[in-house]
Amino acid sequence: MVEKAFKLAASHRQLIQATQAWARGERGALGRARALREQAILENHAHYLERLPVYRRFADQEAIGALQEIEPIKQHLMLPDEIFKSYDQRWLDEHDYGRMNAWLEEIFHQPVEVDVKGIQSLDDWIERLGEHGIRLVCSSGTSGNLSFVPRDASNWNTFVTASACILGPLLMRRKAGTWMQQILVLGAARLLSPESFAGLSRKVGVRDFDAAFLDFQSGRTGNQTLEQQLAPLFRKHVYLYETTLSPSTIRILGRGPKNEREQEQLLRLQEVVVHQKMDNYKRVIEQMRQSTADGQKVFIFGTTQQYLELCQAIGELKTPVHLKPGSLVFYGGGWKLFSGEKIGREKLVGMMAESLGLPAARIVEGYSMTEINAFMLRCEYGRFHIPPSLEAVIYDEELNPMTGSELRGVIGFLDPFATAYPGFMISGDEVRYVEGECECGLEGAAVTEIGRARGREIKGCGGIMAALKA
Amino acid sequence: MEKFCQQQRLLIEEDGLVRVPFLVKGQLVAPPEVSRAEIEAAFAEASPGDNYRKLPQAQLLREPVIDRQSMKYSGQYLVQVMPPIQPAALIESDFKRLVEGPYALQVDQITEYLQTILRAMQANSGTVERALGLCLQTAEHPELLTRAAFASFQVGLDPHSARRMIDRELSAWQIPGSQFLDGWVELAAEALPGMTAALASGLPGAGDLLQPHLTGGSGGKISLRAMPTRQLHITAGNAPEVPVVSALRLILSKSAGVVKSPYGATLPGALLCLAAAAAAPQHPLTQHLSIVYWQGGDESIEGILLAPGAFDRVVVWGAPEAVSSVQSRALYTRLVSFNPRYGVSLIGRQAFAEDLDRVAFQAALDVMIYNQKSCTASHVQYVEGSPEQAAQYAERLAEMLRRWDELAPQFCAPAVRGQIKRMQRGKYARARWLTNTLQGEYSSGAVVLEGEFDLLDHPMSRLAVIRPVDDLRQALPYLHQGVSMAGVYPAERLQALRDEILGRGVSTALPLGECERIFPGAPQDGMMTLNQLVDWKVSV
Repeated sequence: MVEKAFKLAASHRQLIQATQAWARGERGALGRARALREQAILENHAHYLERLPVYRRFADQEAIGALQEIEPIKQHLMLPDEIFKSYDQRWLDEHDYGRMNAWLEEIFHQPVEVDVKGIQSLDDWIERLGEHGIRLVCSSGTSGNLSFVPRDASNWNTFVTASACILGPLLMRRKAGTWMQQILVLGAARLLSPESFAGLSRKVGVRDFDAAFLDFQSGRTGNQTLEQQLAPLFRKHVYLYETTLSPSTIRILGRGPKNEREQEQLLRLQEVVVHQKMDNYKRVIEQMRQSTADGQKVFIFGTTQQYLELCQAIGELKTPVHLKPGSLVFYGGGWKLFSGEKIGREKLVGMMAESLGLPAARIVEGYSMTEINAFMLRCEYGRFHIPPSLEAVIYDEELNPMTGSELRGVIGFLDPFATAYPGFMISGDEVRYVEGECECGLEGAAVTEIGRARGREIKGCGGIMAALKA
Repeated sequence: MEKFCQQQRLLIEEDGLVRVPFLVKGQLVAPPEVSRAEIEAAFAEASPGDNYRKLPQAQLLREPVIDRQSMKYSGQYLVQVMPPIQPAALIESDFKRLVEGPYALQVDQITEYLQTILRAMQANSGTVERALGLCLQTAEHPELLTRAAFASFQVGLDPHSARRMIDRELSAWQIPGSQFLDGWVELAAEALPGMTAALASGLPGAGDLLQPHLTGGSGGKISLRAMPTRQLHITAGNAPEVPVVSALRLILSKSAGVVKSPYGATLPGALLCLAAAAAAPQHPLTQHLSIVYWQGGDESIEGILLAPGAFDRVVVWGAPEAVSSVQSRALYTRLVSFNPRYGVSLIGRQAFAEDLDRVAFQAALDVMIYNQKSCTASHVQYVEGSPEQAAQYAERLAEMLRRWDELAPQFCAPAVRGQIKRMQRGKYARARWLTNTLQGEYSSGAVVLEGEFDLLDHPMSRLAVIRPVDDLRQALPYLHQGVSMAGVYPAERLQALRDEILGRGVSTALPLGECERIFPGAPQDGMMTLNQLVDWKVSV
């Protein structure tokens, strides 16, 4: 068992290094990463067969055992992202966390031996799992039915290390940071192991930046989890809402309050995000001005909906915020708002550039999902580059994999870093997929358009944040 | 009809193309000539599902051809070439012409008109048969159902049924509706003169002046009339009859207006265009009737048609996005919307003490209503019993659906098969699936779910979602305005639960297996539709 874990960790380390080299634009890194990725996917397949009941069941149905190539996985063993919400909603309604544990065991690679005695709420259950090393990240759609993606410490560390190692060089390509930082980051990426690089990044941080997270101070969504990791890297940081958006509150938002207690929970939230919304934006804007006055650059992180509101708030204050040159805006979350209204990328980026006094090149869009361990950044040529640590597959309407270098369909991923849960997953996003060399210098797979597949609800952090309008 | 078709090569397939006419205020408008090369160029870059092109001189609509043997797309398309439309030309603004024309007709003249249309169709059965053949090339409904739907046009246009619809749906004051539609009906209304007239009696010298108000004269007389309106019907393609039903309602209310045929059912509308133009070209109802197509959401057209004052009524059927999109833009026009809804079955535990196959047979009848595309079809079934009993019932139901698969094989779109896979491997991976297959592919089935089901996930293709409940009352919280129909078994449970079911917003509760019951004058979605389409006018 320990030997297997070491082997898996070694594979991951090599894959992170190769992907990092790709992010630096090194020739030949893509092919190297691809070979390592396929090997790691096959190792994961064996691991899932042994340790993931849900995966084993479907593999048995398809009469698939050990594999030497990954094609049968793409054809027969991909699971829709809804597998992470395949529990019975009544168990949460009735606080039956014993059954939730049993469900979690189906999609988690270790026994869930967590005592549920005394657990009164969904939030308590998640907390208790955390105490036992199981970190649940939540996602929700318009239905309010939460997805729970479980990771253990090892899976989490791989995610954090991979993100630091790959995102660092990618952002440096976008000229984030001073020339000295660029040299240091790119140099360190060449010299250090992924773990050392990630450790150094954490220690050194980006102290010449202050951060503004257009989100809740704490919670369990993918974005919130990431923000909690990022926050200590900055000199100081501020959250839009200095309160918690708990999974149980997200669930009430989607499903409607069922009793007085839930009604009160919702009213408390509404007080912050509806009645005090403008005050909260003003506070964040004031902090950005202060950081600029202190000579600090500002890093802002949020979803399209929150940026739209931020721009509106700055507009109401009548004075644009002129952030220090070098500041960076990072956003994601889709273009269709919960109201059904669509907002164009160009329009929003134009608003952000004007309101924040930044060139459009400093406004970076990202794409990811709770179920995967990677981020895709949109380059200045409009491509969301898929890091070669991920194998992307495009599916037709019937969920058959398609082949080709220019495709349109539903995107799925085989994620070698997903060791704790089934990481061979078909999303609900319909994309335009392209392969080849991009003018930005990166090569490989990318997507250029992203939308929700027909019939799939709006989901993700963008959806959750937008729902708060109601 | 056939003469028009031959003269202008309408509704005749030539090299995968069909020329489809419109009716614009009584004028049959044929499409222009568009070459095969132009069409291929127009769709050269199109992906599957991207099936519409608006050219300067024509509209092109392509529908994938279904191979009825393999029940899969053949890879070919049937392309409909249609005329462009000028939205402003569809709007009626000559009220004098309306009042002297269709608004002045008598109900007898309406039923005669329908008779004329019907006779024209009967006399041109070859044309109708050819249109049916074209429909069958691309219809997603089973062949049997499409044929039956065409046959049912005859029932829809039946003059006797039409009169009953008018008399029942527009009935008021215990007077048959046709009288109100024919003209003014004086009511024994005991009308009061109003508060102002009463207060005016305090004005100096008002006594004589007020006399007519207080006694006799026009003061006591009140007349009521069901006045036609200008209507825009935006129809849906979930059943081939929908555009015909919408046109029928427009005609029965003596109104002027436009019917927009939906994607997937343009040909029934085209048949009606031909019949009206051929058999009664000068009739006021034809002169004020338009049957056209445009791509839903085309702002250059809908911006004009949904503008305030363009129509008195907008009737919209269809998918959630279509309904909400029209709702948000037709803010100043009265909207009659047939919202997306679904049907349920409630099966009491008595089923297990009786003939379970018989119950499953009845339930399958309700599943099969318009191949489960109709809001009255059964989509979710609450079964009173243990999960094991529910599974036992689901097996019987799946068997009944398998028999239907043999009688009326269904075409399952790739997206439906994808959705079934997604459900089986995703959110409903823990459910018990009992699916039938035809040539190795999903054809129908039942799924037993102990937890909640999200309706957005329903493929609406012969899949019954079975939810076991300890007591049928546990199903009641799941009934609301979004539920159109409840079929209940057995009869005594229907009697016991009926008011509670309907009180929650469901429109109809009928015995299991009888949910397709129709009759002239039936309400739809809780409305007497004709009543919504006329304006009730008051005069003396």
